[in-house]
Amino acid sequence: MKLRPKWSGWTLVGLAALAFLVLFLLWPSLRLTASSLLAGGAYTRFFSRAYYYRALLNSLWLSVAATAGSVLLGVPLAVLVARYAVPGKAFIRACALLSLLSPPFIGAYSWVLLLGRAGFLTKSLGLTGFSIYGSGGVLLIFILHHFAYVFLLTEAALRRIDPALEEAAESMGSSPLKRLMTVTLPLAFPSIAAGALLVFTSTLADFGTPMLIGEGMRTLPVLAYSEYLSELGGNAGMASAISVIMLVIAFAALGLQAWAVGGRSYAMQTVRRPVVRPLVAEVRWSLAAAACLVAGVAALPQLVVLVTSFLRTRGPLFTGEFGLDNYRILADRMARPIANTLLYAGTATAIMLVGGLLVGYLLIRRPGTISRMVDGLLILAQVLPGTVLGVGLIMAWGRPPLALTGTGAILIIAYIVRRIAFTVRAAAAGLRQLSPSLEEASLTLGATPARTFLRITVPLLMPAAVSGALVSWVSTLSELSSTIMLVTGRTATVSVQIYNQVLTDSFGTAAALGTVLMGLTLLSLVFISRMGDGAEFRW
Amino acid sequence: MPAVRIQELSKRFGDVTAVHRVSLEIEAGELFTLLGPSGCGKTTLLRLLAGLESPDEGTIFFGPNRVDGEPPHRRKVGMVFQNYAVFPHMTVAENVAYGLRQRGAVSTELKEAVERALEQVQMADYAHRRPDQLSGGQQQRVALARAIAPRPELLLMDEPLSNLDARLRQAMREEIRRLQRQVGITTVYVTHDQEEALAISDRIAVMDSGILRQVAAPLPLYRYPASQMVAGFVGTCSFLNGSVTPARLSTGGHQFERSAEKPFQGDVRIGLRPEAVKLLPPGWEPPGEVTLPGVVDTETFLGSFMLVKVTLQTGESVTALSTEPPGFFPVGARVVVSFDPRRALLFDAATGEAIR
Repeated sequence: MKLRPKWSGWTLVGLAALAFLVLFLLWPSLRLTASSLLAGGAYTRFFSRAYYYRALLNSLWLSVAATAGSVLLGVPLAVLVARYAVPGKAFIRACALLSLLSPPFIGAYSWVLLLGRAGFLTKSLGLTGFSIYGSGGVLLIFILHHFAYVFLLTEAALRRIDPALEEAAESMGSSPLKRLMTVTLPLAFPSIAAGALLVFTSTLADFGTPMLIGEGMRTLPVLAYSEYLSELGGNAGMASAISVIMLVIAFAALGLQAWAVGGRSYAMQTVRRPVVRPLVAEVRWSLAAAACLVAGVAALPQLVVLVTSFLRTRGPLFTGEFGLDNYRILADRMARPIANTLLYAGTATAIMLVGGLLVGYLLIRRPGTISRMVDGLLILAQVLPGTVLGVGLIMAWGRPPLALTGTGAILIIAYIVRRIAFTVRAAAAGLRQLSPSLEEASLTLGATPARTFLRITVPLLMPAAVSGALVSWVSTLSELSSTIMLVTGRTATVSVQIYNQVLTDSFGTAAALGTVLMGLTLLSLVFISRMGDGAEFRW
Repeated sequence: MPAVRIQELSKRFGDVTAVHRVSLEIEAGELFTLLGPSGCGKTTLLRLLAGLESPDEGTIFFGPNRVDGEPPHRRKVGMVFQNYAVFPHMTVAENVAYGLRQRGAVSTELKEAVERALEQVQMADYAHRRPDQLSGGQQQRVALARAIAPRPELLLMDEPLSNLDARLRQAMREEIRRLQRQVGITTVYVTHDQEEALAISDRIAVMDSGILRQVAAPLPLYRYPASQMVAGFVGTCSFLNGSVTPARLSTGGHQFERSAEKPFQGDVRIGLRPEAVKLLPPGWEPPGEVTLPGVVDTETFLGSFMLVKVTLQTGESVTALSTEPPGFFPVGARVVVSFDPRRALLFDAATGEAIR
């Protein structure tokens, strides 16, 4: 539809989205950058003192190694599940999804319970000289918690590849391995790269895991947090400089990914099911066992959280008896955080659903300068580490007359900035699959553009937008890295309370809170898959 | 007064001119076809009529009303799309009612109008089905019913049959023709299929590179194409290089007599329809005919007749229609291509324009 008056409702939608992102994303980022530059020698100090630049090196190698490990684990697993006849596929897929259910710091804490110095496995298996603490443990947990991103994205991409392409390679006499390396994996590469970027940026920004089991290991988010919050020697300029450095790294990773993918996208709509190849019995069973083991280990923390939530505790110790004590504590003391989480994440998700539909439409159907600017800011929002956004929001909105810090509103705003991209991208992807002729048919039948949007576009986009919003919702429920910067006692959320409980050794309460979080997430995921099966309109 | 009058209409997309200074008139009740190769601007012209694109220059009138500044929802057109565009979240009846509701129909007349429209396309039994339970052909019938139900001034059809299989396509085009006559609605029909255009249309406008090349009824268009492009696009046509004087036609190193009314002299392209070409055994030279020796290149069996492609000594090829049984002119056989110079189409080699 090229018929466009100069001003329409869509211009207003675009300007509103732009204003929101400028105020709560760009402005805080700029304030942060300015403050880091004005602090006088923050960067010089950062790069000249081992205390600081070690953290940079730690963060870099951890994220690179975690990304490499996730790809090396996730891609072969995806090929195995998508292309070969192995038993236990449903189990592997379910475990992969489960492992993403809770924030990585819950995983970290579960591994402490299992493999810590007094851990269940450490004691029962008599492991000595081994510990989950330290940088190796952090890396292990990063990989176990994140390879599922690579696995799920790659497996979905493999299932979308038209089998005719692989058959063509086969008919030209290429061996299975060569076919995999020259046809199958290159076709799935954009998805693998997207998964890798996700792993890199989320491990780079992960604050909880190194804080809990790093044993003093400094990474950039840990450093930014402690620099900003510590009373003595706290240094806002240094925190800003660290944040800016994280942002630069995240952008570099994004640039690298964009360069590697090089604008390739192999959009394929195949109706044929992928060919699943048989394997020799011994190979099949050993591969299946290995795959199930990996997936099971990745999902193990969830089980640990669930079980320990029902264990009685005395102080920091588990008594070994089962009971509902932890949940009683929850009911007594944690009602407020649970209500807060539901209120803030719920409000943010509702706004993200409406905003995602409108902005998604704007990006696809109304390209132009405003659309491009909104799109660019959304990319910034996706790679911006949560800690950085938190620091930036405090700097930009922490002072009267518009002091938003300490309110629930600033949390809702932070959640929208961090997660609306999921909803926007989902709505945009749905719209790309929706033939413009549906809307055009409505216009030629006499419906106004506004009515066409409400009667045709919105109902048809709803399934895609809702599943995008649910992804936003699920990841908002467990958001910690910006929340921890922005909460006060009054606005504390479940994820912050879990973190605090773990720090004060109240594992039982933390586990009960973690279980509540998992339950909420699981319910939402069931809802997503129901949406996906039932209401999706094929077009 | 013509139902539609287009004057000097142009539309550009960036550097590409999709429609270039097109002027034409469409009579009330006519089935008017826009025909051309893909990318020729025919769909853009249709979308300009619908209001889905706005022109850079020129005017469009529906009857006495100028509409080129009007948005699509105020134009009273009905449009049928190549991909049907049936709303997947509504039943068949709701789809048909959609346009009627926008035009303010009240519920009693709404129900009647929906039923009538569905009966007209023989889909009355499917009123409460969902579109995903219908075949492509059935969906296109629903789209047609939806477009005509609000009684638009103008029905626009954008390659409505190209997603259907060949047999269904033929049945549907007859049905569209019947329905269009019965309702008497002015229709603009876009297709790239010249056979479909010849079969269905009252008049055909041939477009190429955004320019309107010729507007004519099917028979004159086929018999008297205005240019080499039209001759080549509408029906099958072989082209030979040659030259003419008022008394002579030269091609392939031979000279033949002819009697021309127009005094054109110079290089020409000779256009030959397959049915204007005869194939004869070597050595035959019927009086008054142009005869050129050649070798059979391929034969294509098409059921009731054959198309035989012959390579001439000059390297040019000519396609002839043959009703002989297959194998009568085996590949590699020497033959004589023979045609009456009066049945040849002549085009100015410099401009491609027809010489009449």
